[in-house]
Amino acid sequence: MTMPTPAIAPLIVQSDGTLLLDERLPRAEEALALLREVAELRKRPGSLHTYAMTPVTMWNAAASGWTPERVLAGLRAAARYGVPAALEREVQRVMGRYGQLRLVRLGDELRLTAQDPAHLREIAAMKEIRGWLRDEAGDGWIGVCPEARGWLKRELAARGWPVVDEAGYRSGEALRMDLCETSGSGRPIRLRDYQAEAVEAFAGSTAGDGGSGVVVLPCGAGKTWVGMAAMARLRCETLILTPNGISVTQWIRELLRNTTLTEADIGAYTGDTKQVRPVTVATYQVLTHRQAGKADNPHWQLFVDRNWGLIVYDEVHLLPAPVFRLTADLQATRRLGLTATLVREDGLASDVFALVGPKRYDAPWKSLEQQGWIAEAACREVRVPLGGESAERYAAAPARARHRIAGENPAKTEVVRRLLARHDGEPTLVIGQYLSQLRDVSEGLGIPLVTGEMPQQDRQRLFDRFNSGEVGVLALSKVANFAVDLPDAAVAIQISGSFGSRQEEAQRLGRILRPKRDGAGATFYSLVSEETDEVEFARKRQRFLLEQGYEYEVSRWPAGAAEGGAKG
Amino acid sequence: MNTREIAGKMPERLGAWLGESPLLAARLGSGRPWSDVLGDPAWAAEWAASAAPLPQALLRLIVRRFAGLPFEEEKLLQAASEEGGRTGAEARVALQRLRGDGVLFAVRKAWGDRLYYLPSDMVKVWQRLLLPLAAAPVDAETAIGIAPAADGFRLPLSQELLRAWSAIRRYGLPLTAKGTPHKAAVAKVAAAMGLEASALDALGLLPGAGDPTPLQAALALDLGLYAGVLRRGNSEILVDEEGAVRWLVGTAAAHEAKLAEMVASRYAGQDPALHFAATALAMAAPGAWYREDALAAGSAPGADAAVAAALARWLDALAAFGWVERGVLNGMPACRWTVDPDPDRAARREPPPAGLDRYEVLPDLEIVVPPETPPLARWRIAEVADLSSADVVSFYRLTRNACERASHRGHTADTVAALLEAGSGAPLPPPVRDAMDDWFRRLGRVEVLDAVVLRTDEPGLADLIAADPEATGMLGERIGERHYLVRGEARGRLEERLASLGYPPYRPQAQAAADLAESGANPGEPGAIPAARLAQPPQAVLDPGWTSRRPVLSFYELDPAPPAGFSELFPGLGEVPAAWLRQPRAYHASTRRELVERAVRWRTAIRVRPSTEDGGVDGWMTFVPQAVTGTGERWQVSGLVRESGFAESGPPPAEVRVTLPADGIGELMIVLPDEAR
Repeated sequence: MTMPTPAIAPLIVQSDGTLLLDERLPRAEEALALLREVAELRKRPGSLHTYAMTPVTMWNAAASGWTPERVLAGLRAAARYGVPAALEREVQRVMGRYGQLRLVRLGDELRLTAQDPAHLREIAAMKEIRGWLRDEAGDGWIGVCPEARGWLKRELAARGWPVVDEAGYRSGEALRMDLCETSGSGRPIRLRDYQAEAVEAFAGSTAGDGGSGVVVLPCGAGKTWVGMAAMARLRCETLILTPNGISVTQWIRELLRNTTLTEADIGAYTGDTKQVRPVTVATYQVLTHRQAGKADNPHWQLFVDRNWGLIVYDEVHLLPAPVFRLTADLQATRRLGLTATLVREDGLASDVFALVGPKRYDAPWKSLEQQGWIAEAACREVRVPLGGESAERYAAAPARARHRIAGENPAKTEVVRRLLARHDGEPTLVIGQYLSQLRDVSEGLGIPLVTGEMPQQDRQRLFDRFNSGEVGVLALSKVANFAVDLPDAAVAIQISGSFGSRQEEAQRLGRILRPKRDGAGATFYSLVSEETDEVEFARKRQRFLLEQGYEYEVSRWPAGAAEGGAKG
Repeated sequence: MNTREIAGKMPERLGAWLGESPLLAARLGSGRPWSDVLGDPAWAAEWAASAAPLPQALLRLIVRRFAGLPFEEEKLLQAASEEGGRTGAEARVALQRLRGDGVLFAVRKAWGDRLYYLPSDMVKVWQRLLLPLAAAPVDAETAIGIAPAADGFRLPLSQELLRAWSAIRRYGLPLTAKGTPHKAAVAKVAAAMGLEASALDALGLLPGAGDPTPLQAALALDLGLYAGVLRRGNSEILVDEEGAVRWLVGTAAAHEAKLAEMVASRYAGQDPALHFAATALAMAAPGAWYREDALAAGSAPGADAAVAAALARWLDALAAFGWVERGVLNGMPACRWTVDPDPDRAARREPPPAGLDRYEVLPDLEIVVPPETPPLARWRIAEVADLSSADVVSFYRLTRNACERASHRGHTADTVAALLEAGSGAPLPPPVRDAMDDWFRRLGRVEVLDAVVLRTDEPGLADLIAADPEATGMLGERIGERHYLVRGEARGRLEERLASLGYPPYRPQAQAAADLAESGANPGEPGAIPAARLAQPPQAVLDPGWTSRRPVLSFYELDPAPPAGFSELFPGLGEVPAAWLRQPRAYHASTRRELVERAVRWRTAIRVRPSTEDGGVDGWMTFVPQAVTGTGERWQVSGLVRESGFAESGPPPAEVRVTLPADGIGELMIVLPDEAR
């Protein structure tokens, strides 16, 4: 509590760096402009949006030329209750550290320099770090083993010491590549403003530690375009890592369709194919695949086979831990992470920062929706009673088995049928967690089903038929969570989900967020068995989207479902 | 003891003579009760404006030296002599005046000793009137140069206490047979608080021997019991919901000020220097920076260092309570209030504009609670949601577990929704309402009950009893071939009916004993009151709090004897020649000795013109004789010479210790204090 009667300023500043912005108040826009520079959005449910100042956001602000005094003056001007003294000191301390340590290259030698030589002595005394330093040292610098570049940065950042990496990147083997002037359909190719901003934020600043980092865009907002434009900007051989084979196919197709690259330039590196070409698209899975009993991973050679100038990590929040380790050794190569969410269920978000790079660009979902870049989505949770034999099995089952019984509630099939009838003519996806359930729905309602077991060519053929309108409804297994390009899908019906993965729910919603040609909105249904544990798991899954400003409308399916649709 | 407690136990005789004091009589005449009159700051201001200098000076001395602590007359006379240069007679006359005016009170200990004291709630009032703050705030331009201390964020004490009390409401706080809390239970209370025990040194919290209560929890218990938010049950400390509501009502600012005042009167009053420092600090303007040495100045000659040390300790605690901010100005410590410590002023402040005191319920089940939210609203949120973080604003989270707890307290989805909608001033976001409905739908649907069951040895008998028109009305649901539920209140009547039907029910002996205990009768002592009932505190008695306190005056009877008159104060007054008191004269050596000894007994001064060895005379002086020694004509008197007569106010006159021989004393007279002074 502070003494002066609080003016109605839009920002509440907490001592731990949490910032609450009330978008309803005057001067909220002004405060928002400040927050975009110095903080990151945590959530925006309702009108009170939560941002956080972390060491990373403060270092990013410092990298963009902000001084602690300017940051604090901006906060004070917008703060309703002033800026807590503890935070003032923290801002001074954290931002003051940025630029104290730098990695520079002198010929072949990598050096860590410090403004204050005492810091170097402190660092040299750290047990975990000592092994990465060389004996060579001088006034204000110490030699660093080149292979330790990533590990050193990661360890020091974890200890609150950001290292400005000015050692530069290898430019990689040059590759002539441009975006085409027109797309396959003849429309001129022009990046949307936010896509251009994202590319600029990533590749524009090559001074200091610029040139690597993560771009966060909602599903459907065109992350592939950001990747392709970054490649065209840097014009170097590029390795693209994606979560699955479908995604590999789609990247290749988009590159061929929208860039000047030819088939001879692009290779696929998957379980089936091992092509290494100037632009190679690989899966995370193949990179982490290891033969039984062998310590070395045969596919890691891919990273050094060619002189890559850029590595693109698609869906970077899924990056497996082994690839992180690999990434630490690749610090001389530019890295671009693409994702819809920095939420990592495994809590490794800080490693993404340290090893792929800081967040370079972030566009909130609802902002893009307001601007019409992603479709307006209505989220509906439909509660379906669990009856008959399923209810008995549910009651008798141990807790760990109940989620599946509730998820596979056979009554959901009828609800899907009614919803499909309601959305007749709208391209619709039915997404589920359990193959047996999907098969039942597929057979019961005559819907083609795509699963991971299906050969990729067959999958792609079904996707193409869906995109062309020949098939109106597709049932998808978990394969649909990521990197499936079905731009016209307008309705998604989730019949079951994992225990509570927030990013899964976001990804599934993302499948229907591409703006529709007719400007129509999208509808996301989540079918949940009433009076079961599935209700709580659904609530947990929905949290990320609630935090992004989406609200679920809950309706209840009448028991027996003899008539009509859901009742509110 | 405060004025409320004094009023509550005032003997008739005391009230009779006290009511004759003109200032009090005027107020009592208008029908105001003693509790109202004795603690009225306006009365105090009127008294201070009209009182004679000597009682005022003595009251200043009492405020500085004793604050609200009891003292013996001799201690006061000593202090008056050392510090104020007053004669014992002056101090005693002024003391009686203070009693007669209702400023000072006395109790009598069992063995007859009398202890005087200022009502604890009035000490600060007198200090404000008679020893106003001399320090000026640091001007705004200079204040820019103040470097704030590197403390972390501190929650206001009111919120810390709410966290502790909420933990007691949630987990309970059982007491051992010795009356101390269970270690694990009280550790939970302490863990709910962010307050660190190390900051509480100044408060003098003294948990009893073997009491495992951490200091911060002791503070929460002490204030909770004293404020009536907590109460003592049979073997536990409980939240008193009505008491909580009474204490927590009001705006956040007014509540914090009320709490600040309670903390000062409850803890600073244990040490006069601390009380002086705390009251001086309370006079500082909120929000303005002060140098700490300036706040500590002006207490008493030579006492500044003690007050400065006390102030520093007090500020440590207040900073931990989130009430003051400390900093350094040119190497010197400085401080400022971040809350308004004056309850009246805080209560008069405009309420927060535009609903800023409302909290907000977000669709993702979080509740954002701004600092202006009234404490009662916070208390109610804590009933239905979990605190997830507390800082400038606090975050609570609605969870299924919290709803389950709320349901145990009688809440339903509708009452929780109504509570949240009232506090937020907005309809609940639909996802929140949905979650409430989901969670509450399963709550309260089943219950495990203690029930009275009729059991027969075979089904046929059960049928027979159920067929009896009188018995069947006392039976509830049949729950088996041989079992019926018995309606709650009907057990006794059913047993009688069964007996009259020829089936006297079997009653185990243990049950019979339990029934006896329930009835309140002791088998060995018919009609005795059960111990459980005895343990309950009588209603309307203020709980003394948790921690051990210094002597509690309320143990003693108020002294109803009226203030002593001159003849009592100066025994033998009527017997001495009037001339001794009227004007200086020369006396025979033996008379001179008699007169001086009388002055020593009365602890008063004499006015004397010493004679010199050559038979000449010096100028008049005021001499306070203290001891007469020697025999015959060779006696002498030692004492203190006041250089410039009585000082009515301001610094005491300088004193010089001298010894006058019998033949060095010329004309003299006894000087008694003027009754009017």
